[in-house]
Amino acid sequence: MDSSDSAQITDGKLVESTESPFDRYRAFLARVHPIDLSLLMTTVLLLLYAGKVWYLDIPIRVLALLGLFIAPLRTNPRYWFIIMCFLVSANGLSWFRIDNHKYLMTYWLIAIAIATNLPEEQTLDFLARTARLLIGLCFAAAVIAKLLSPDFVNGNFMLHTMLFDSRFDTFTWLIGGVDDDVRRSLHALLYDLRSGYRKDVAVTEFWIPHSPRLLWVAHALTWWTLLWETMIAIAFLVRYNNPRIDSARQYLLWIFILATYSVALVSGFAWLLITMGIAQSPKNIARTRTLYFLLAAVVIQVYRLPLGALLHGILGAEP
Amino acid sequence: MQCNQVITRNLVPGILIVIVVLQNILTQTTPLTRWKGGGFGMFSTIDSTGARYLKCYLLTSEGDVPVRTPGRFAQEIRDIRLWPTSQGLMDLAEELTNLEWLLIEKKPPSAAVTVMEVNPLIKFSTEPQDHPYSVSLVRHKFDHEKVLPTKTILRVTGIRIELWRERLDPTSYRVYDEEWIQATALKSPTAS
Repeated sequence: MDSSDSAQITDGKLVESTESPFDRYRAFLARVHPIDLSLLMTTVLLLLYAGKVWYLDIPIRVLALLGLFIAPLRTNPRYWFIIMCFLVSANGLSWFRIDNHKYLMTYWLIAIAIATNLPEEQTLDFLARTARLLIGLCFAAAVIAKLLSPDFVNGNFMLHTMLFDSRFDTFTWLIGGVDDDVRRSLHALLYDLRSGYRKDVAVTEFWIPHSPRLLWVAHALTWWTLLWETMIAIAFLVRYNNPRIDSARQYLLWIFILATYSVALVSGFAWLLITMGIAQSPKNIARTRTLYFLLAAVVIQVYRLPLGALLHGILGAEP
Repeated sequence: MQCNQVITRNLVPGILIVIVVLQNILTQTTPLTRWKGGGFGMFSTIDSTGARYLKCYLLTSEGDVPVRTPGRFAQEIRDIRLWPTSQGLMDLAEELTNLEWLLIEKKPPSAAVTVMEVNPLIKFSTEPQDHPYSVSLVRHKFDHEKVLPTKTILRVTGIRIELWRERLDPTSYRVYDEEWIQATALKSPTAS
């Protein structure tokens, strides 16, 4: 009998195992082949976040469910080729409408379709290298886009986002010190700026708050984002593979996911980064895998709770 | 390493690089928003699809009537907002001139007035017929819709669509919008 079972038979008697559920869970994670773990995470990713258009959503969900329950399918090159074809064609049809992580997901599926066609001894290395490069390149592209943008480096984008993106409401209130009433008034003004022409409300301009504290936070957020994304890009694009660099990659990615998605959650992107994070570290130990699993299964799901409203309630302000 | 092995190993990162370069060229040379197109430019600029919006006016003999664009054109409008072109705007304006527009004699429901009352920025009388807001009283006529006596078909001579975008002045922290592209399509006399 497997040592990880919860009970075992000794001298004809059923004896409870001394292993805790967490130990058994870690033992399970350590046992799973790194390729299968990445492919398993990818099927869940596809099941939850592949796309919204019916001609992608329906077939991909069916295929993902099949892959989830029929383990041999997950190593079948034809299975991944079919999924890749659906993703490439559906996302290709609406290529300038889809979000950026849908591109990354498509690249990842192309990589899997290629990897499962390679000889078994090359599959792991190919997936790991491609995942590492895709993460590095996507962060490098994000940094370049921010540097080329006319309103990112000067802090304007973050200032605007803090005041007008409702996902930042709690952050702006807690850290930026902007009251709910002020934000609500700003939202109303922005609404009238955009659609007031239909109601004869002549809002053509308004001024936003720019206290030293708010500006400081906007600039700090701007430079934190640039710095962290640059470090991730460098860490994942350098060719050297040693335990220190590998650890640095994991920590940089974990902190990015923890920090960024606590404010602006994009669950599909987070899950994809976690999936590729697992794949790019094929020699990962159970602890690494556990942390990735915790991020995907717990942290990302906890971030979906109305934490802002809860905080407002606890701290005694209206959400 | 063989040539085809090198290609296989670098194919996927290569595709990403090509798309990113292409998207960056397009955002520099055309009005494509940085948020779209696969360049990973999300959260890099205020100029997102949401910060670009259309203002639509019916041209009538009594003046321009602002209207909401019909929901059935939502996808087309979204496409225009994320990658606007004069031709795209003109195509939309021409499609809208093919619709009939109704003037509906209907007061806003009391619930709408209540909602407006809680907004301190809006000052108006509590009498629905007196408040200065005109809750959209003009809409397009649906296919096969019967025109009841309470509705009148507007005599529309054309449609003007304006694409505006939101800006933030970095020195004065002033939020304002500026008109970007405009298209006017006139209704052919035979159509009416």
